[in-house]
Amino acid sequence: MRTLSAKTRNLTTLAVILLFGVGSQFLIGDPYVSHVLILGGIYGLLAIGLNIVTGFCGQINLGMAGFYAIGSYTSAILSVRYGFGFWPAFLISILSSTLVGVVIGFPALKVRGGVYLVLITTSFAGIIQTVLNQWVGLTNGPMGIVGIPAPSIFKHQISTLQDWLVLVYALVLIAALAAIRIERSRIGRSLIAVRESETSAQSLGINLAFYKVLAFALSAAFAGAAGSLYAHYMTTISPDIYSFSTSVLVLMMIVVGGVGSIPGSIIGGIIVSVLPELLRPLNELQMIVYSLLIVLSTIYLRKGIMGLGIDTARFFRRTLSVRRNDEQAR
Amino acid sequence: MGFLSVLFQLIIGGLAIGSVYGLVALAHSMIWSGVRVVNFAQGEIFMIAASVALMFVTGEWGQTLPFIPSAIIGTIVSAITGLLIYLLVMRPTTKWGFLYVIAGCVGVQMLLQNTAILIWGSTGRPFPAVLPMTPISVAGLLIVPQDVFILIISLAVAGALWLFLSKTKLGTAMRAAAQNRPVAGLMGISHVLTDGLTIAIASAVAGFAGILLAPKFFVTPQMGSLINSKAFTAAVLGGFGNIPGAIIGGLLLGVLENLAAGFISSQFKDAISFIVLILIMMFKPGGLFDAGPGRKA
Amino acid sequence: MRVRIRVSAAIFLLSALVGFSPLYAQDIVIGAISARTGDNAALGEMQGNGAKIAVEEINAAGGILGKKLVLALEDSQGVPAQAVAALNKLVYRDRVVAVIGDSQSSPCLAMLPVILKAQIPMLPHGTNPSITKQGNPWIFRTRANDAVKFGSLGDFLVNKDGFKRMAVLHDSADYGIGGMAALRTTLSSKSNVIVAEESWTPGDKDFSSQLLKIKKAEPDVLVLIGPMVDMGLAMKQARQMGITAQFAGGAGIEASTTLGAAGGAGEGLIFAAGFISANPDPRVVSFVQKFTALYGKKPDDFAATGYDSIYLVAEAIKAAKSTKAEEIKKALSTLVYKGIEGTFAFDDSGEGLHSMQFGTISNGQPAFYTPSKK
Repeated sequence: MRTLSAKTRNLTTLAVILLFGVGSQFLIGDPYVSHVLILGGIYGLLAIGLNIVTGFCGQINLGMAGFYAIGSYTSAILSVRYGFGFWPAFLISILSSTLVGVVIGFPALKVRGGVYLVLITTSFAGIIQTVLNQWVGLTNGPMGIVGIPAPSIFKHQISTLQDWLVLVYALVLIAALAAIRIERSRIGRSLIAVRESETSAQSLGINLAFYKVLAFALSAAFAGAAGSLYAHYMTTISPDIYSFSTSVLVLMMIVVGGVGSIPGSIIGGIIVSVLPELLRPLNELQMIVYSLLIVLSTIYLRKGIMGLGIDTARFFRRTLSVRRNDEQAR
Repeated sequence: MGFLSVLFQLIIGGLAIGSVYGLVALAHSMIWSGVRVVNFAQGEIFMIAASVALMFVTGEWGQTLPFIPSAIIGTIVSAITGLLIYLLVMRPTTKWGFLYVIAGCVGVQMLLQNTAILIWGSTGRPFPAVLPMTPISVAGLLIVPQDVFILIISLAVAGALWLFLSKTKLGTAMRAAAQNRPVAGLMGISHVLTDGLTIAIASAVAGFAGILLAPKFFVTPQMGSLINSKAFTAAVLGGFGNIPGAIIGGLLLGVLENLAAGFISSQFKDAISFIVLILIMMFKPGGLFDAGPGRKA
Repeated sequence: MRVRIRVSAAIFLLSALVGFSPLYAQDIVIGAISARTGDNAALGEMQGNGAKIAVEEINAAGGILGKKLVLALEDSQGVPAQAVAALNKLVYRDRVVAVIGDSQSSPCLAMLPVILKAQIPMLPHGTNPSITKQGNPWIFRTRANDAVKFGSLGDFLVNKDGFKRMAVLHDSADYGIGGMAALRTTLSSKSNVIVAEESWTPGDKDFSSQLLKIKKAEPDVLVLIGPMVDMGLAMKQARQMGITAQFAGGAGIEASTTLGAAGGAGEGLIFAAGFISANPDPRVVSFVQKFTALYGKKPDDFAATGYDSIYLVAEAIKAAKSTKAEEIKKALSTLVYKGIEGTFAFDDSGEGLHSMQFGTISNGQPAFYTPSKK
């Protein structure tokens, strides 16, 4: 029971933080911070996806950029070339991404061990990027796709940054809740069982193949959603965005936020977006300090920020309750 | 140009660059078989060695040194860098799982690359060649001496390493530790010594590969990232942990890429290596030379 | 719980102050965005250095409208989302009057909608023609786009210099693909001039397979389109393979980085550029001297574009006698200005440079080129 309540505490913390952060931006409307938060939210979706396959199920996936790309390009092509509305395009993007996720799940089954998974997922993402570059007829190749239209919801066009903040974070919240439901359900427990010990899971009657493929499919679904949002938000996409560095970035998000933690995914996504901006005043040292912080957090913050968060809150509560007792005693 | 001469040129070119992939792949396999970790920042070590050696060859630090001492300094620096990365980043993170090793190494990669940009600037610099770069005609085929030099030296290094590992006491100790760690420990072989030596030697080899390739390809802070993925693929082709396999894997990859680009399409050069990789992963995960069941990575 | 709320609230109200810089209150700030880390960091280095020289010269001459000019350099890492973040910071925190860059097309395209909302002038350095085709009135491109660059190169090589068999080796990014398309369009009336077309992934350093196919086609001129280091290495390897064709390319192929990588193979190549460092024009000479003295390298056309862009903004402000964005935009659209890259006159779509000059490499140094009809 203690573990469950800690998780709930984290969730409420996350919800409060998001409410304040996003809410304050909604009111202030500062474009600089808003853009970074919107991007952070989109990254959060990617991170949730990665956490499902890597955090819960233990399958390292360094090919998230591939699913991200499929989401973006499906949405972009459907809306720019065929006049699809945002929501149909969005849903189809998720679908196509998930399908590809299933396809990738199968080769991933055949390999054992982290190194080989890394290679397969990286190769997959690499193939996707090459196809995007070469199939000029479909994707316009390296020239990219421009003029991707903004979504509209109930006749209201999403045009301002505030609109985007609400849209993205509403979707993030829905995604987080969905992911947490999965985590707590039988599916989630089976995925985690696969991570902990494949042999034991099998002995419990868990179909390894089914769950591994499911994990990939789910991660692809979230990445596809993120991709579609990204395309409509940035209004232009090109193959160079969906590179190995992007896949690695998603990995950073879950390591920094906390592997296996859904609130951590969102926090990680936001941190990865915000941190470089906080470091901008350092000019040439910006990326050096950034990479140093990443290395340090990997070594020292094993549980990610979420792990830190629990400790900090407990620390605050202890110090502040001591003071309160003193005051009452007087 | 006859078909055979085209084929021959493609193969020679592929072998030269493949031998360098092979050396870095060898570093990966050596570290894996000996210490059971993977250094994803190997490419950056490659780059640092080349950049440092270049510094001495051009006299940025005062005196100009000839090629050999500069190469030695560069190689030593790469050995030290490799050891530092191992001690500070890889050791702590390996306990927690591959995910963290990758994250840590990628962080190191970014750190090293951006530091290199800070120190040496982002535009590339040429590295003076050791042998002439103009081709000579041998039996109607054009061969570049520098390429042959790279190939021969790479094979020599691999050969020397093999001799060291099989014939010397230290080398045998390292092999023993790689084969069976606990028993080797019981026999009095110090893990600290063998681990440290493995990392140092492997990093030195990777660094030396960078110095070898520098005259052919130009020294930039980004030269490591390209090599990283190719060397990794080569190591897997040859069987991860299989040291001679790594060299062969590298040579094979170099030649395969060239042949694919030459006869199929240059557009799909990269995609082809990815596809090959996936096929190997699916059907022969232990690498091409895998005899028995693949070792769990 | 209360504690967390307080801490979280504090964190996020602080976030509104992120990047707040009141330092620039009295000065005129121009922002410059480019990749300064990552694979294309070399572009940002050149752009930044060129811009710095312009800023320093302008300030030494008394500034603009009596105020000091300040350059705010930001790193986009060549990533569109980062370019937008950098743009937002420059516009909403540093209160820049104009933005120069990004050096690559993909980030530029992402910045366009933000510029439209922010309503300040942007001088992009990316060369994808679609940048000026979005109907955005705030865009003023200070480099010749790929169509102009390679179109005029193709025309020059075939029609004025008499080459008959052209091979093209281009990268697979938008630069290479766009350039190739421009060549094809220009030479469409001359069938069979293009005898070979090969491509490579930018960053790839081994061209043996592509060059072998090109050699087979026996071209008399080989046009290269791609990143500088790659082009240099390609030329070196081409000569090593016995390809004797004349080399040609757009701006960048004559840069010292390219020639360094080519190691002598670049001798005699033909290039199309706005900026030729051998130009005896005193401004060009002075620029090249200052740049080489300060940075130990010769400037390339990205540096020249950085330099000219700053001057263009400065001239526009002077002409408009105001730092208001709308006034600067108006002034830029009617401005005719001779920079070191050529004469700028912005047309309706925002293209500023409409013709190229042709140079060659003679004894390792850029020089002007006079065609010799074969």
